[in-house]
Amino acid sequence: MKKTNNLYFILLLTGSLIMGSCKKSYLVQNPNDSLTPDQALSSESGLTSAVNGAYAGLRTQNNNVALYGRDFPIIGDLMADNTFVESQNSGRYLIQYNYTMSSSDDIAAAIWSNAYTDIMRVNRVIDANVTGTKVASIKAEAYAIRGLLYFKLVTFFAKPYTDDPNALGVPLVLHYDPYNLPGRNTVTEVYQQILRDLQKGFQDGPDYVNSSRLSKYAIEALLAKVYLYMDDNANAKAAAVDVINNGGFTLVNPGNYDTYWADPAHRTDMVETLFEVDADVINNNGFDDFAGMYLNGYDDIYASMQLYNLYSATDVRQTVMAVGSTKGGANAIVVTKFPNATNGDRDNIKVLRLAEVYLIAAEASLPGNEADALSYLNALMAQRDPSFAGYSSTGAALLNDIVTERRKELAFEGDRFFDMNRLKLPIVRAGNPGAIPAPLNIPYPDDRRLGPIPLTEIQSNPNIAGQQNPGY
Amino acid sequence: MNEEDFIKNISVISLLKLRVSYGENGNAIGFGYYSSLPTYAYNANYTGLSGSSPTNVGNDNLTWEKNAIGNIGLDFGLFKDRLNGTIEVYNRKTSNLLLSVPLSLTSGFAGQNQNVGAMTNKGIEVSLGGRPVKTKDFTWDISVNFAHNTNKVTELYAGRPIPQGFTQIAVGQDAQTFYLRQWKGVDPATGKAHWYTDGSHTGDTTKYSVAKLAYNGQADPKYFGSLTNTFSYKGFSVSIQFYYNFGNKIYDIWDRYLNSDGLYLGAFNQSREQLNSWKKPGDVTNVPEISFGDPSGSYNHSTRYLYNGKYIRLRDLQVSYSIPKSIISKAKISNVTLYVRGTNLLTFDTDKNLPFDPETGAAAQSNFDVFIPKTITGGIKIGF
Repeated sequence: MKKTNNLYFILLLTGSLIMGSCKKSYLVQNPNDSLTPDQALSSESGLTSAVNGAYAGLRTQNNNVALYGRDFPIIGDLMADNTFVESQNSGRYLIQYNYTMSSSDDIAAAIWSNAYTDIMRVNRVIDANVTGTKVASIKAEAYAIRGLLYFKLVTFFAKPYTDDPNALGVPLVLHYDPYNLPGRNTVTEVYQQILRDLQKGFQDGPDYVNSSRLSKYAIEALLAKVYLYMDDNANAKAAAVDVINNGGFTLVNPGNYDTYWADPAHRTDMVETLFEVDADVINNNGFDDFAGMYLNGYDDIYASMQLYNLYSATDVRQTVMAVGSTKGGANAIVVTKFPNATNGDRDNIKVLRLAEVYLIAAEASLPGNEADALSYLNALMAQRDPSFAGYSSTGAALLNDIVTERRKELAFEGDRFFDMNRLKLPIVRAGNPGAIPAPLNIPYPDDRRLGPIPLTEIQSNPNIAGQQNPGY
Repeated sequence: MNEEDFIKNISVISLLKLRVSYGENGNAIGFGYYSSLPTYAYNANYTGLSGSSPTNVGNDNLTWEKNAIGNIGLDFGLFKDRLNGTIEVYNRKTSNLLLSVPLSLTSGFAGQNQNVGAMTNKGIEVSLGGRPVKTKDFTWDISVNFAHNTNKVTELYAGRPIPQGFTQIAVGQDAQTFYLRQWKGVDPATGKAHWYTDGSHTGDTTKYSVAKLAYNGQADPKYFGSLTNTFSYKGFSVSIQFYYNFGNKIYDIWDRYLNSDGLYLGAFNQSREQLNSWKKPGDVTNVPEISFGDPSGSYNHSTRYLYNGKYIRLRDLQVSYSIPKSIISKAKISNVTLYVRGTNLLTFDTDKNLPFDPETGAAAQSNFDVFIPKTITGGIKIGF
C-alpha cells in the first residue's frame, strides 16, 4: 500500500512540475528607463521626441560641447582673424588658434563623432515607418538637421566646393548600420546630398513656431547659404529673396539691438533669428557654455583690435563690444555679445539670422546686378548704422565691402573662418597686446585649414585609413 | 603524498601534497544587465520638451565569457615544518572575451559590446615560509611569495587589433600593451623634438603626425610579490613587509599639460623638468626648446611620458609589545598589546624620471593622481 502511495505521490509531483514550469518570457527583463528602437519610433510623438533629441544633440552630447555647444561658434572666429586667446588662459582652443592640430586632436574628433551621432539620430527618424498627418513635417525637420550637419562636416574636414568639387569630402551615411565602414565621398556628392535634404526639408517644412526649431523659411535660408558656398549665385539669390519677401521675418532695429543680444530666451516674434540652438535653465553646459569663453566664465577670448576698428562710431554693432582689458592686464576689446554665461537661462547659439540672408542676397546679385547688391546691403546698413549714407561702391570694391560687412555682422558667431575658406582668402591676423603668440599669416591654400580625420576613425575604419587629409 | 610508503621514512619531509584541478566558469562582469538590447533613452531634452536618443547598439549574440583553468600545485613542509611552501602552476584559457569593439564613428556609436576572441594567462605562484631561528625567547619567521604571469591574446575577430586608449589589444601580445608614438628625444644641435617613424626605432622625423604608433611595453607586471620578516623576542614583535613589482610600464596622461614646452605656460604651472630645457646648441636634455605657442607638438602623447613601472616598497612595518600576562592577569585582562604601525614608508628602485607614484592600479596609467600616503598609526589592543 505504501509503495502505491509513493508512486501516486511521485506522479503527482512530476505532473505539477511539468504544468507549472516557467514561461520563457518570465526570464526576459526589459530596462525600466529605456525603450527599444521599435517602441521609441512607433508613433508621431515618438518621432517628435527623437527629433527633439537631434536638436539637443546639436548643442551637447554626453556633456561635451562639440558642434554648436561651443566648438563651432568659437573656432569659426578664432581660426580666422576676429578673435585671439590671451596669455592667461584655461588651456582651451590653443591648438586650434595655433594651427597645430594633429590627427589625435580632441576637438576635431569630437566634432566628427558628435556630428555623425546626430546624423544617426535623424537617419533613424527619417527611416521610421510611421504614418500620420504630421509625419511629413516632423521628418522635414530631420532632413534639414541632416543637411545642416553634413554642411558643417564638409566645410570643416574638406576643401571648399569653390576650390575643388572633386576633392575628398566626408562619408555620406544615410541609414543606420553599426557595421558600416564607409570611405569618403567627394565634395560634390556631399553637397548634392545636402541640397536634396534641404529641399525635402523646405518642401514639407513646418510653419514657424519659435526660433529654436527649423521652420520652412529657415530651411530655405540655409539652402541659400549652401548655394552661396557652391558659387551658385542664381539659386542662392532666389532662395534668399524668397525668405526676405515671404518669410515674415524682420531685421532687428538699432533701438532694440542691445536687448536682442541680452535676451537669452528663444523668440516667437519672428524678429531677426531664423534658427538658433537653444540653451535654457536646465539644459545647458554650465561653465563650459560658449558664452563663458568671452565673458563671465573663462574669459579667455577677446576681439581683435583690427576687427574693432572696422566699425564706425555710430554703428550699433559696436555696442556688443567693450573697451577693457584681458585678465593679464593688457588693453583689449571684451566681447559682450553673449552676457548670460552665469544667468539662469543661457545664451542661445544663433545659426541663421535675417541679416545674413540680406548679405547672401547682396553677394549673390554680383557680378551682374550691382543695383540689387547695393539695395540689399544698404537695407541692412540702415538697421545697423542709421547715420551712414550707404555704400555706393562698384566692382571688386563692392564685393569686398559685402564680405567685410559679413565679417562685422556675424562677428563671434562662428562664420568668418568658413567664409574665408570658401572665398579662398589668406588669413592675415594683426598682433594684439596680451595675446599668445600664434601664426599671423595663414595663406590659401594651406593644409592646416582643413581639419584632421580623427585617429580613432582611421584605426577603426580600414576604408578611410588611406584617405587622411594631407599634413596629418 | 607524505603518507606514501616511499616518502614516509624520509625524515626531512614533513608534508608533501600534490594537487591537480581543472575547472570552467562563465563570467559577465563589466557588462550591464541590458547590454544585449538596443535602447533609446529619454535623456536629450530640448527647450523643455522631452527628447530621446539611441543609447546602445545591442547585440543578440552576447554570451558568457568562458574561463577554463588548469592548475597543479605542490604543498610541502620540511624539517618538521620549519620550512614550508607552496608552488602552483596554472594555465587559464579565456574565450568569448567580452569587449567593447570600436565601430566606425560614422555609425553614430563608438563601440559595440561583443564576444571577440581568446586569451591565455599562464603563470607560476610560489610561496615559501620558514622559521630560521627559534630559541626559547626569540623567533624569526620569514615568508616570501612570488608570482609571475604571462598574458597573451590568441584570437580576435578577423585578427583585427582593438584600440583601448593608450593600449591596444592585438593577437600575440599582452592584452594591455601600450600603443603610442615613439619619442626619440631632443636633437642637441637644434633643440627640436624628434620621434621615431615606427616601432623599429630606425627612422627619424620632426613631425609628430608622421610618427607611427607602435607597441612598447605592457601595463601588467611580469613579476610581483612580497617578502615579510617577523622577529619576536619575549613580548616584543617587529614585522617588516616589502612589496615588489617588475616588468611593467606606466603612462602619465596628465604630464603633457605640465611638461608642455611652452604651450600651456599661460594656463598651468609647469613641472621642474621644464627648467632643464634645451637652451643652446650642444645641450643634451630630454626637454625641447621652450617656445611660447609651441608649434612642434612635442607635448602630444608619446613614449616621452611612458616610464618603467618597477618598484620595491616597504609596505608595512609594525612594532608591537604585549604586556606579560603575569602583570595583567591580576586585573582580569587576558591580553594588552601596544603597537605602532607604518604603511608605505619607503619606496626605492623606481624609474628615476618617474614624477609620480608607481603604484597606479591595473591600467598602469596615472592622471595627476595623488601619491599613496605614508601613514603611521598607533594603538592599544585589549582583550578580556
